[in-house]
Amino acid sequence: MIDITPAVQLFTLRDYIQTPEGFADSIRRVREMGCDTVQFSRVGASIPADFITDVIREYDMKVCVTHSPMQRIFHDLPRLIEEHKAWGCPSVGLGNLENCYLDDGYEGYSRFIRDIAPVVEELKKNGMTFSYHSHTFEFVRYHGRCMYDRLVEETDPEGFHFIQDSFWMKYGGLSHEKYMEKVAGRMEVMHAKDFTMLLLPMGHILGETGTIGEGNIDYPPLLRAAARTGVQVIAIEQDRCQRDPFECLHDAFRQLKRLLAETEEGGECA
Amino acid sequence: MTRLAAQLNTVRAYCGTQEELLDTLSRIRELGFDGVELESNLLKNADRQAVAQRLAQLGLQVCSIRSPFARTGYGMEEMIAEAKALSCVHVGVGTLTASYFTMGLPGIEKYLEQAQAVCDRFEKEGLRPLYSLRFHEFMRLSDGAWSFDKLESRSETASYCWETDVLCLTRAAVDPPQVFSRLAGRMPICRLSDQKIRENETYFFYAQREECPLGEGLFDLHAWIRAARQAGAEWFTIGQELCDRDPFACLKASLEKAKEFGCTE
Repeated sequence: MIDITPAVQLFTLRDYIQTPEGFADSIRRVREMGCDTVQFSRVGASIPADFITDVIREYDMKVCVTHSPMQRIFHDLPRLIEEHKAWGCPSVGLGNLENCYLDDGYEGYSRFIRDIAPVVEELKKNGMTFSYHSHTFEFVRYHGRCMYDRLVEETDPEGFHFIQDSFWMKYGGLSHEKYMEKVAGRMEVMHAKDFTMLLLPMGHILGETGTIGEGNIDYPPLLRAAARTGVQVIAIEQDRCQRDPFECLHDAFRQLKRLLAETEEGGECA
Repeated sequence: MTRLAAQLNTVRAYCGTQEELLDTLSRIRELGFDGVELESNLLKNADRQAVAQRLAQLGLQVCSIRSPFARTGYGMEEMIAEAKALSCVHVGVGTLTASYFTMGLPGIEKYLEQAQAVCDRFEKEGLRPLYSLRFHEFMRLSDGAWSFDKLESRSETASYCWETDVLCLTRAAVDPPQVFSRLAGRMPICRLSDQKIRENETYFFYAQREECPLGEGLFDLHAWIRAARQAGAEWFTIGQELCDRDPFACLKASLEKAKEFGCTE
Protein backbone atom coordinates (compact mmCIF):
# COMPACT_ATOMS: atom_id res chain seq x y z
CA MET A 1 0.00 0.00 0.00
CA ILE A 2 1.23 3.47 -0.84
CA ASP A 3 0.51 6.05 1.84
CA ILE A 4 -0.26 9.11 -0.28
CA THR A 5 -3.44 11.16 -0.03
CA PRO A 6 -5.62 11.13 -3.15
CA ALA A 7 -7.06 14.55 -3.94
CA VAL A 8 -8.95 16.48 -6.61
CA GLN A 9 -7.52 19.36 -8.62
CA LEU A 10 -10.44 21.74 -9.08
CA PHE A 11 -9.18 22.85 -12.53
CA THR A 12 -11.20 19.90 -13.87
CA LEU A 13 -14.33 21.62 -12.53
CA ARG A 14 -13.38 25.15 -13.63
CA ASP A 15 -16.69 25.72 -15.39
CA TYR A 16 -18.60 24.88 -12.20
CA ILE A 17 -16.70 27.00 -9.67
CA GLN A 18 -17.15 30.50 -11.01
CA THR A 19 -19.98 31.52 -8.63
CA PRO A 20 -20.30 31.11 -4.84
CA GLU A 21 -23.18 28.65 -5.30
CA GLY A 22 -21.31 26.63 -7.91
CA PHE A 23 -18.20 26.54 -5.80
CA ALA A 24 -20.07 25.37 -2.68
CA ASP A 25 -21.98 22.75 -4.64
CA SER A 26 -18.79 21.46 -6.29
CA ILE A 27 -16.99 21.14 -2.96
CA ARG A 28 -20.01 19.25 -1.59
CA ARG A 29 -19.98 16.86 -4.56
CA VAL A 30 -16.24 16.28 -4.31
CA ARG A 31 -16.63 15.61 -0.59
CA GLU A 32 -19.36 13.07 -1.36
CA MET A 33 -16.85 11.15 -3.49
CA GLY A 34 -14.96 10.52 -0.28
CA CYS A 35 -12.30 13.08 -1.12
CA ASP A 36 -11.15 15.39 1.68
CA THR A 37 -8.34 17.27 -0.09
CA VAL A 38 -8.44 19.60 -3.06
CA GLN A 39 -6.18 21.88 -5.01
CA PHE A 40 -7.61 25.28 -5.86
CA SER A 41 -7.25 26.39 -9.46
CA ARG A 42 -9.39 28.72 -11.58
CA VAL A 43 -11.76 29.39 -8.69
CA GLY A 44 -13.99 32.32 -9.67
CA ALA A 45 -12.10 35.55 -8.98
CA SER A 46 -15.25 37.25 -7.72
CA ILE A 47 -15.93 34.69 -4.99
CA PRO A 48 -14.95 36.28 -1.65
CA ALA A 49 -12.06 34.57 0.12
CA ASP A 50 -14.08 34.46 3.34
CA PHE A 51 -16.88 32.60 1.60
CA ILE A 52 -14.34 30.05 0.33
CA THR A 53 -12.99 29.69 3.85
CA ASP A 54 -16.49 29.06 5.22
CA VAL A 55 -17.25 26.44 2.58
CA ILE A 56 -14.09 24.42 3.11
CA ARG A 57 -14.66 24.54 6.88
CA GLU A 58 -18.25 23.40 6.45
CA TYR A 59 -17.14 20.38 4.43
CA ASP A 60 -13.93 19.81 6.37
CA MET A 61 -11.97 20.07 3.14
CA LYS A 62 -8.19 20.48 3.12
CA VAL A 63 -6.44 22.60 0.50
CA CYS A 64 -3.04 21.14 -0.41
CA VAL A 65 -1.86 23.80 -2.87
CA THR A 66 -3.26 26.41 -5.23
CA HIS A 67 -2.65 27.61 -8.73
CA SER A 68 -2.74 31.34 -8.24
CA PRO A 69 -2.66 34.03 -10.93
CA MET A 70 0.88 35.19 -11.67
CA GLN A 71 -0.12 38.83 -11.31
CA ARG A 72 -1.30 38.20 -7.74
CA ILE A 73 1.83 36.22 -6.87
CA PHE A 74 3.99 39.19 -7.88
CA HIS A 75 1.75 42.10 -6.92
CA ASP A 76 -0.64 40.93 -4.20
CA LEU A 77 1.46 38.48 -2.21
CA PRO A 78 0.56 39.60 1.35
CA ARG A 79 -3.16 39.13 0.73
CA LEU A 80 -2.53 35.85 -1.08
CA ILE A 81 -0.56 34.60 1.92
CA GLU A 82 -3.35 35.60 4.29
CA GLU A 83 -5.92 33.76 2.18
CA HIS A 84 -3.74 30.64 2.06
CA LYS A 85 -3.30 30.78 5.82
CA ALA A 86 -7.06 31.04 6.30
CA TRP A 87 -7.49 27.95 4.11
CA GLY A 88 -4.68 26.08 5.88
CA CYS A 89 -2.89 25.79 2.54
CA PRO A 90 0.90 25.55 2.80
CA SER A 91 1.89 26.40 -0.77
CA VAL A 92 1.20 29.07 -3.37
CA GLY A 93 1.41 27.52 -6.80
CA LEU A 94 1.82 28.80 -10.33
CA GLY A 95 -0.03 26.80 -12.99
CA ASN A 96 1.61 28.31 -16.03
CA LEU A 97 4.65 30.42 -16.65
CA GLU A 98 3.34 33.26 -18.77
CA ASN A 99 4.41 34.62 -22.12
CA CYS A 100 6.13 37.68 -20.70
CA TYR A 101 8.83 35.23 -19.61
CA LEU A 102 8.46 32.42 -22.14
CA ASP A 103 8.77 34.66 -25.17
CA ASP A 104 12.32 35.59 -24.16
CA GLY A 105 13.65 32.03 -24.19
CA TYR A 106 16.75 31.49 -22.06
CA GLU A 107 16.75 35.09 -20.84
CA GLY A 108 13.08 34.87 -19.92
CA TYR A 109 13.75 31.91 -17.67
CA SER A 110 16.71 33.75 -16.14
CA ARG A 111 14.43 36.70 -15.40
CA PHE A 112 11.74 34.47 -13.88
CA ILE A 113 14.28 32.76 -11.63
CA ARG A 114 15.45 36.20 -10.51
CA ASP A 115 11.93 37.64 -10.05
CA ILE A 116 10.54 34.69 -8.11
CA ALA A 117 13.39 34.59 -5.57
CA PRO A 118 11.96 37.34 -3.28
CA VAL A 119 8.52 35.74 -3.50
CA VAL A 120 10.00 32.44 -2.37
CA GLU A 121 11.81 34.22 0.46
CA GLU A 122 8.62 35.87 1.66
CA LEU A 123 6.72 32.59 1.54
CA LYS A 124 9.48 30.89 3.52
CA LYS A 125 9.27 33.60 6.18
CA ASN A 126 5.60 32.67 6.49
CA GLY A 127 6.33 28.95 6.73
CA MET A 128 5.12 28.32 3.19
CA THR A 129 6.51 27.25 -0.17
CA PHE A 130 6.10 28.21 -3.81
CA SER A 131 5.05 25.37 -6.16
CA TYR A 132 5.79 25.42 -9.87
CA HIS A 133 3.48 23.30 -12.02
CA SER A 134 5.11 22.09 -15.21
CA HIS A 135 3.70 21.08 -18.56
CA THR A 136 6.12 20.06 -21.30
CA PHE A 137 7.33 23.37 -22.70
CA GLU A 138 9.77 23.82 -19.81
CA PHE A 139 11.79 20.92 -21.16
CA VAL A 140 12.91 22.97 -24.15
CA ARG A 141 16.66 23.43 -24.48
CA TYR A 142 18.26 26.82 -24.95
CA HIS A 143 22.03 27.09 -25.21
CA GLY A 144 22.16 23.33 -24.64
CA ARG A 145 20.39 23.51 -21.28
CA CYS A 146 16.98 22.15 -20.40
CA MET A 147 14.97 24.99 -18.86
CA TYR A 148 13.26 22.70 -16.36
CA ASP A 149 16.67 21.63 -15.09
CA ARG A 150 17.50 25.29 -14.55
CA LEU A 151 14.36 25.72 -12.46
CA VAL A 152 15.50 22.78 -10.34
CA GLU A 153 19.13 23.80 -10.09
CA GLU A 154 18.98 27.60 -9.92
CA THR A 155 16.21 28.07 -7.36
CA ASP A 156 16.04 27.70 -3.59
CA PRO A 157 15.40 24.02 -2.82
CA GLU A 158 13.76 24.88 0.47
CA GLY A 159 11.18 27.25 -0.90
CA PHE A 160 10.83 26.57 -4.63
CA HIS A 161 8.93 23.32 -5.02
CA PHE A 162 7.35 21.49 -7.94
CA ILE A 163 4.11 19.94 -9.14
CA GLN A 164 4.78 17.42 -11.89
CA ASP A 165 2.00 16.05 -14.02
CA SER A 166 1.86 12.44 -15.20
CA PHE A 167 0.31 13.30 -18.57
CA TRP A 168 2.65 16.12 -19.52
CA MET A 169 5.72 14.12 -18.56
CA LYS A 170 4.55 11.32 -20.85
CA TYR A 171 3.67 13.80 -23.59
CA GLY A 172 7.28 14.92 -23.59
CA GLY A 173 8.56 11.34 -23.65
CA LEU A 174 10.32 11.95 -20.34
CA SER A 175 11.16 9.44 -17.65
CA HIS A 176 8.81 10.68 -14.95
CA GLU A 177 10.45 8.53 -12.29
CA LYS A 178 13.83 10.13 -12.99
CA TYR A 179 12.37 13.59 -12.74
CA MET A 180 10.67 12.71 -9.47
CA GLU A 181 14.06 11.68 -8.13
CA LYS A 182 15.46 14.97 -9.36
CA VAL A 183 13.03 16.97 -7.23
CA ALA A 184 12.94 14.54 -4.30
CA GLY A 185 11.79 16.37 -1.17
CA ARG A 186 10.58 19.31 -3.27
CA MET A 187 7.28 17.93 -4.52
CA GLU A 188 4.50 17.47 -2.01
CA VAL A 189 1.74 17.43 -4.64
CA MET A 190 1.74 15.63 -7.98
CA HIS A 191 -0.93 15.70 -10.67
CA ALA A 192 -2.30 12.48 -12.06
CA LYS A 193 -4.40 11.86 -15.11
CA ASP A 194 -4.32 9.26 -17.81
CA PHE A 195 -3.19 9.40 -21.42
CA THR A 196 -5.93 8.14 -23.70
CA MET A 197 -5.81 7.64 -27.44
CA LEU A 198 -8.89 9.09 -29.11
CA LEU A 199 -9.92 8.06 -32.60
CA LEU A 200 -10.79 11.06 -34.75
CA PRO A 201 -12.33 11.10 -38.24
CA MET A 202 -10.22 9.64 -41.10
CA GLY A 203 -8.25 7.42 -38.74
CA HIS A 204 -6.41 10.25 -37.03
CA ILE A 205 -5.53 9.61 -33.42
CA LEU A 206 -5.14 12.14 -30.64
CA GLY A 207 -3.34 11.55 -27.36
CA GLU A 208 -5.61 13.30 -24.86
CA THR A 209 -5.92 13.74 -21.12
CA GLY A 210 -8.10 10.96 -19.77
CA THR A 211 -9.61 9.35 -16.71
CA ILE A 212 -7.18 7.24 -14.71
CA GLY A 213 -7.73 3.60 -15.57
CA GLU A 214 -8.91 4.29 -19.12
CA GLY A 215 -5.58 5.09 -20.74
CA ASN A 216 -2.02 3.93 -21.08
CA ILE A 217 -0.05 5.28 -18.13
CA ASP A 218 1.46 2.52 -16.04
CA TYR A 219 0.81 3.89 -12.56
CA PRO A 220 2.41 1.44 -10.09
CA PRO A 221 6.03 2.47 -10.92
CA LEU A 222 5.03 6.14 -10.68
CA LEU A 223 3.31 5.64 -7.33
CA ARG A 224 6.36 3.83 -5.95
CA ALA A 225 8.62 6.64 -7.13
CA ALA A 226 6.24 9.21 -5.65
CA ALA A 227 6.35 7.48 -2.27
CA ARG A 228 10.16 7.24 -2.39
CA THR A 229 10.59 10.90 -3.21
CA GLY A 230 8.27 12.42 -0.64
CA VAL A 231 5.07 13.10 -2.54
CA GLN A 232 2.27 13.48 0.00
CA VAL A 233 -0.74 14.21 -2.20
CA ILE A 234 -1.70 13.04 -5.67
CA ALA A 235 -4.34 15.30 -7.18
CA ILE A 236 -6.38 13.86 -10.01
CA GLU A 237 -7.03 16.22 -12.86
CA GLN A 238 -8.48 15.99 -16.33
CA ASP A 239 -8.02 18.98 -18.60
CA ARG A 240 -10.61 17.86 -21.13
CA CYS A 241 -13.40 15.43 -20.32
CA GLN A 242 -15.30 13.37 -22.86
CA ARG A 243 -18.23 13.10 -20.39
CA ASP A 244 -19.44 14.80 -17.21
CA PRO A 245 -16.33 16.04 -15.34
CA PHE A 246 -17.74 14.96 -11.98
CA GLU A 247 -18.17 11.44 -13.35
CA CYS A 248 -14.60 11.47 -14.68
CA LEU A 249 -13.28 12.60 -11.30
CA HIS A 250 -15.40 10.05 -9.48
CA ASP A 251 -14.06 7.17 -11.61
CA ALA A 252 -10.47 8.45 -11.54
CA PHE A 253 -10.59 8.92 -7.78
CA ARG A 254 -11.82 5.36 -7.25
CA GLN A 255 -9.10 4.01 -9.58
CA LEU A 256 -6.38 6.02 -7.87
CA LYS A 257 -7.48 4.79 -4.44
CA ARG A 258 -7.42 1.21 -5.73
CA LEU A 259 -3.96 1.67 -7.22
CA LEU A 260 -2.63 3.21 -4.01
CA ALA A 261 -4.07 0.34 -1.99
CA GLU A 262 -2.76 -2.40 -4.31
CA THR A 263 0.71 -1.05 -5.09
CA GLU A 264 3.56 -2.18 -2.87
CA GLU A 265 6.13 0.39 -1.85
CA GLY A 266 9.75 0.01 -2.86
CA GLY A 267 11.47 -0.42 -6.19
CA GLU A 268 14.76 0.77 -7.47
CA CYS A 269 15.66 4.37 -8.02
CA ALA A 270 15.14 5.20 -11.70
CA MET B 1 26.32 -8.31 -30.43
CA THR B 2 23.59 -5.90 -31.48
CA ARG B 3 24.25 -4.11 -34.76
CA LEU B 4 23.33 -0.71 -36.09
CA ALA B 5 21.39 -0.04 -39.27
CA ALA B 6 20.41 3.18 -40.96
CA GLN B 7 16.84 3.69 -42.03
CA LEU B 8 16.92 4.42 -45.73
CA ASN B 9 13.75 6.43 -45.28
CA THR B 10 15.76 9.13 -43.51
CA VAL B 11 17.70 9.81 -46.70
CA ARG B 12 14.80 9.14 -49.09
CA ALA B 13 15.49 12.37 -50.93
CA TYR B 14 18.77 10.83 -52.10
CA CYS B 15 17.33 7.62 -53.55
CA GLY B 16 15.49 8.89 -56.63
CA THR B 17 17.50 6.97 -59.23
CA GLN B 18 19.50 3.76 -59.16
CA GLU B 19 22.72 5.73 -59.24
CA GLU B 20 21.61 7.88 -56.30
CA LEU B 21 20.44 4.86 -54.34
CA LEU B 22 23.71 3.01 -54.82
CA ASP B 23 25.66 6.10 -53.87
CA THR B 24 23.50 6.55 -50.77
CA LEU B 25 24.16 2.97 -49.68
CA SER B 26 27.88 3.66 -50.01
CA ARG B 27 27.56 6.80 -47.91
CA ILE B 28 25.68 4.86 -45.22
CA ARG B 29 28.50 2.33 -45.09
CA GLU B 30 31.10 5.09 -44.95
CA LEU B 31 29.32 6.55 -41.93
CA GLY B 32 30.01 3.26 -40.17
CA PHE B 33 26.65 1.49 -40.19
CA ASP B 34 26.60 -2.32 -40.25
CA GLY B 35 23.32 -2.50 -42.07
CA VAL B 36 20.43 -0.72 -43.67
CA GLU B 37 16.68 -0.90 -43.36
CA LEU B 38 15.29 -0.70 -46.86
CA GLU B 39 11.94 0.62 -48.02
CA SER B 40 10.37 -1.21 -50.94
CA ASN B 41 9.13 2.02 -52.53
CA LEU B 42 12.70 3.32 -52.65
CA LEU B 43 13.85 0.23 -54.53
CA LYS B 44 11.39 0.64 -57.37
CA ASN B 45 13.71 2.56 -59.65
CA ALA B 46 16.69 0.27 -59.17
CA ASP B 47 17.74 -3.07 -60.55
CA ARG B 48 17.53 -5.56 -57.70
CA GLN B 49 20.73 -7.37 -58.70
CA ALA B 50 22.67 -4.13 -58.87
CA VAL B 51 21.51 -3.26 -55.35
CA ALA B 52 22.42 -6.74 -54.08
CA GLN B 53 25.85 -6.45 -55.69
CA ARG B 54 26.54 -3.06 -54.13
CA LEU B 55 25.40 -4.26 -50.72
CA ALA B 56 27.72 -7.27 -50.99
CA GLN B 57 30.64 -5.08 -52.09
CA LEU B 58 30.07 -2.77 -49.16
CA GLY B 59 29.50 -5.55 -46.66
CA LEU B 60 26.26 -3.82 -45.73
CA GLN B 61 23.52 -6.13 -44.44
CA VAL B 62 19.81 -5.62 -44.92
CA CYS B 63 18.08 -5.94 -41.56
CA SER B 64 14.62 -5.62 -43.09
CA ILE B 65 12.72 -4.43 -46.11
CA ARG B 66 9.61 -2.48 -45.26
CA SER B 67 6.40 -2.54 -47.26
CA PRO B 68 2.83 -1.56 -46.42
CA PHE B 69 0.52 -4.39 -45.39
CA ALA B 70 -1.55 -3.84 -48.54
CA ARG B 71 1.38 -5.08 -50.63
CA THR B 72 0.90 -8.57 -49.20
CA GLY B 73 -2.37 -8.54 -51.14
CA TYR B 74 -1.10 -7.46 -54.54
CA GLY B 75 2.63 -8.10 -54.49
CA MET B 76 3.42 -11.01 -52.22
CA GLU B 77 5.60 -12.83 -54.79
CA GLU B 78 7.60 -9.67 -55.39
CA MET B 79 8.13 -9.23 -51.66
CA ILE B 80 9.48 -12.75 -51.44
CA ALA B 81 11.72 -12.36 -54.49
CA GLU B 82 13.03 -9.03 -53.20
CA ALA B 83 13.85 -10.43 -49.76
CA LYS B 84 15.66 -13.41 -51.22
CA ALA B 85 17.62 -11.34 -53.71
CA LEU B 86 18.78 -9.00 -50.94
CA SER B 87 19.45 -11.80 -48.41
CA CYS B 88 16.94 -10.43 -45.94
CA VAL B 89 14.97 -12.71 -43.62
CA HIS B 90 12.78 -10.04 -42.00
CA VAL B 91 10.15 -8.93 -44.43
CA GLY B 92 8.24 -5.89 -43.27
CA VAL B 93 4.48 -6.23 -43.48
CA GLY B 94 3.73 -2.71 -42.36
CA THR B 95 1.21 -2.05 -39.68
CA LEU B 96 -2.46 -2.34 -38.88
CA THR B 97 -3.86 0.34 -41.16
CA ALA B 98 -6.80 2.67 -40.56
CA SER B 99 -9.07 0.54 -42.74
CA TYR B 100 -8.86 -2.09 -39.99
CA PHE B 101 -8.44 -0.24 -36.71
CA THR B 102 -11.21 2.27 -37.37
CA MET B 103 -13.63 -0.69 -37.49
CA GLY B 104 -12.82 -1.71 -33.91
CA LEU B 105 -12.90 -5.37 -32.92
CA PRO B 106 -14.39 -6.65 -36.21
CA GLY B 107 -11.60 -4.84 -38.06
CA ILE B 108 -8.96 -6.52 -35.92
CA GLU B 109 -10.52 -9.92 -36.60
CA LYS B 110 -10.50 -9.21 -40.32
CA TYR B 111 -6.86 -8.20 -40.17
CA LEU B 112 -5.90 -11.32 -38.20
CA GLU B 113 -7.57 -13.56 -40.76
CA GLN B 114 -5.61 -11.96 -43.59
CA ALA B 115 -2.41 -11.94 -41.56
CA GLN B 116 -2.68 -15.69 -41.02
CA ALA B 117 -2.44 -16.29 -44.76
CA VAL B 118 0.55 -13.93 -44.99
CA CYS B 119 2.32 -15.76 -42.16
CA ASP B 120 1.71 -19.15 -43.79
CA ARG B 121 3.09 -17.98 -47.14
CA PHE B 122 6.26 -16.46 -45.68
CA GLU B 123 6.86 -19.48 -43.50
CA LYS B 124 6.95 -21.72 -46.57
CA GLU B 125 9.71 -19.52 -47.97
CA GLY B 126 11.75 -19.49 -44.76
CA LEU B 127 11.04 -15.78 -44.26
CA ARG B 128 9.69 -13.97 -41.20
CA PRO B 129 6.98 -11.33 -41.41
CA LEU B 130 8.09 -8.26 -39.49
CA TYR B 131 5.33 -6.13 -37.97
CA SER B 132 6.12 -2.46 -37.53
CA LEU B 133 4.59 -1.48 -34.18
CA ARG B 134 3.48 2.13 -34.08
CA PHE B 135 1.15 3.94 -31.66
CA HIS B 136 -2.39 3.33 -32.87
CA GLU B 137 -2.18 -0.27 -31.63
CA PHE B 138 -2.34 1.19 -28.11
CA MET B 139 -5.76 2.73 -28.52
CA ARG B 140 -8.24 0.91 -26.27
CA LEU B 141 -10.79 -1.28 -28.05
CA SER B 142 -14.37 -1.66 -26.83
CA ASP B 143 -13.33 -4.59 -24.63
CA GLY B 144 -10.66 -2.46 -22.94
CA ALA B 145 -7.74 -4.27 -24.57
CA TRP B 146 -5.22 -2.80 -26.98
CA SER B 147 -5.04 -3.98 -30.59
CA PHE B 148 -1.45 -4.80 -29.65
CA ASP B 149 -2.74 -7.30 -27.07
CA LYS B 150 -4.59 -9.14 -29.82
CA LEU B 151 -1.83 -9.01 -32.43
CA GLU B 152 0.78 -10.11 -29.94
CA SER B 153 -1.11 -13.03 -28.44
CA ARG B 154 -3.30 -14.51 -31.15
CA SER B 155 -2.32 -17.69 -32.99
CA GLU B 156 -2.92 -16.12 -36.43
CA THR B 157 0.08 -13.83 -35.98
CA ALA B 158 2.20 -16.19 -33.91
CA SER B 159 4.96 -16.21 -36.50
CA TYR B 160 5.20 -12.41 -36.60
CA CYS B 161 8.38 -10.89 -35.37
CA TRP B 162 8.34 -7.28 -34.27
CA GLU B 163 10.01 -4.01 -34.97
CA THR B 164 9.43 -1.53 -32.14
CA ASP B 165 9.89 2.21 -32.43
CA VAL B 166 10.64 4.22 -29.30
CA LEU B 167 9.17 7.42 -30.73
CA CYS B 168 5.86 5.73 -31.53
CA LEU B 169 5.69 4.02 -28.16
CA THR B 170 6.22 7.26 -26.31
CA ARG B 171 3.56 8.93 -28.45
CA ALA B 172 1.18 6.33 -27.04
CA ALA B 173 2.45 7.05 -23.49
CA VAL B 174 3.64 3.47 -23.24
CA ASP B 175 6.94 2.72 -21.54
CA PRO B 176 9.18 1.14 -24.19
CA PRO B 177 10.75 -1.39 -21.77
CA GLN B 178 7.27 -2.62 -20.84
CA VAL B 179 6.64 -3.50 -24.50
CA PHE B 180 10.15 -4.86 -25.07
CA SER B 181 9.78 -7.35 -22.24
CA ARG B 182 6.50 -8.59 -23.66
CA LEU B 183 8.15 -9.13 -27.03
CA ALA B 184 11.33 -10.68 -25.67
CA GLY B 185 12.82 -13.08 -28.19
CA ARG B 186 10.43 -11.83 -30.90
CA MET B 187 11.77 -8.33 -31.42
CA PRO B 188 14.78 -8.52 -33.74
CA ILE B 189 14.66 -4.80 -34.52
CA CYS B 190 14.24 -1.73 -32.37
CA ARG B 191 14.08 1.67 -33.99
CA LEU B 192 15.72 4.50 -32.10
CA SER B 193 15.15 8.20 -32.37
CA ASP B 194 14.93 11.09 -29.99
CA GLN B 195 12.49 13.92 -29.38
CA LYS B 196 12.93 17.51 -28.33
CA ILE B 197 10.65 20.45 -27.64
CA ARG B 198 10.73 23.04 -30.41
CA GLU B 199 12.56 26.19 -29.42
CA ASN B 200 11.05 29.67 -29.43
CA GLU B 201 7.47 28.51 -29.53
CA THR B 202 5.37 28.79 -26.43
CA TYR B 203 2.39 26.53 -26.59
CA PHE B 204 1.15 26.34 -23.02
CA PHE B 205 -0.29 22.90 -23.30
CA TYR B 206 0.60 20.89 -26.38
CA ALA B 207 4.20 21.96 -26.91
CA GLN B 208 5.53 21.19 -30.36
CA ARG B 209 7.64 18.02 -30.35
CA GLU B 210 10.29 17.38 -32.97
CA GLU B 211 12.47 14.43 -33.87
CA CYS B 212 16.15 14.98 -33.41
CA PRO B 213 19.38 12.97 -33.46
CA LEU B 214 19.94 10.66 -30.52
CA GLY B 215 21.15 12.41 -27.40
CA GLU B 216 19.81 15.82 -28.40
CA GLY B 217 16.38 15.19 -26.94
CA LEU B 218 14.54 14.03 -23.86
CA PHE B 219 14.40 10.27 -24.21
CA ASP B 220 15.90 8.00 -21.60
CA LEU B 221 17.81 6.12 -24.29
CA HIS B 222 20.38 4.48 -22.02
CA ALA B 223 17.68 2.60 -20.15
CA TRP B 224 15.68 1.77 -23.25
CA ILE B 225 18.67 0.46 -25.17
CA ARG B 226 19.58 -1.75 -22.22
CA ALA B 227 16.00 -3.07 -22.05
CA ALA B 228 15.88 -3.74 -25.80
CA ARG B 229 19.15 -5.65 -25.66
CA GLN B 230 17.81 -7.71 -22.75
CA ALA B 231 14.76 -8.49 -24.88
CA GLY B 232 17.04 -9.88 -27.56
CA ALA B 233 17.13 -7.08 -30.12
CA GLU B 234 19.55 -7.97 -32.91
CA TRP B 235 19.47 -4.62 -34.67
CA PHE B 236 18.97 -1.02 -33.68
CA THR B 237 17.79 1.02 -36.64
CA ILE B 238 18.39 4.73 -36.61
CA GLY B 239 16.52 7.36 -38.50
CA GLN B 240 14.28 10.36 -38.54
CA GLU B 241 11.15 11.09 -40.51
CA LEU B 242 12.09 14.76 -40.52
CA CYS B 243 15.53 16.32 -40.08
CA ASP B 244 16.39 19.90 -39.17
CA ARG B 245 19.69 19.64 -41.04
CA ASP B 246 21.40 17.40 -43.60
CA PRO B 247 19.93 13.90 -43.03
CA PHE B 248 23.36 12.28 -43.39
CA ALA B 249 24.66 14.59 -40.66
CA CYS B 250 21.73 13.52 -38.45
CA LEU B 251 22.51 9.85 -39.11
CA LYS B 252 26.18 10.43 -38.30
CA ALA B 253 25.39 12.24 -35.04
CA SER B 254 22.95 9.53 -34.01
CA LEU B 255 25.36 6.73 -34.86
CA GLU B 256 28.04 8.22 -32.63
CA LYS B 257 25.61 8.58 -29.75
CA ALA B 258 24.19 5.10 -30.28
CA LYS B 259 27.65 3.64 -29.80
CA GLU B 260 28.22 5.82 -26.76
CA PHE B 261 24.88 4.66 -25.31
CA GLY B 262 25.97 1.03 -25.55
CA CYS B 263 24.06 -0.13 -28.62
CA THR B 264 26.88 -2.32 -29.85
CA GLU B 265 28.26 -3.64 -26.58
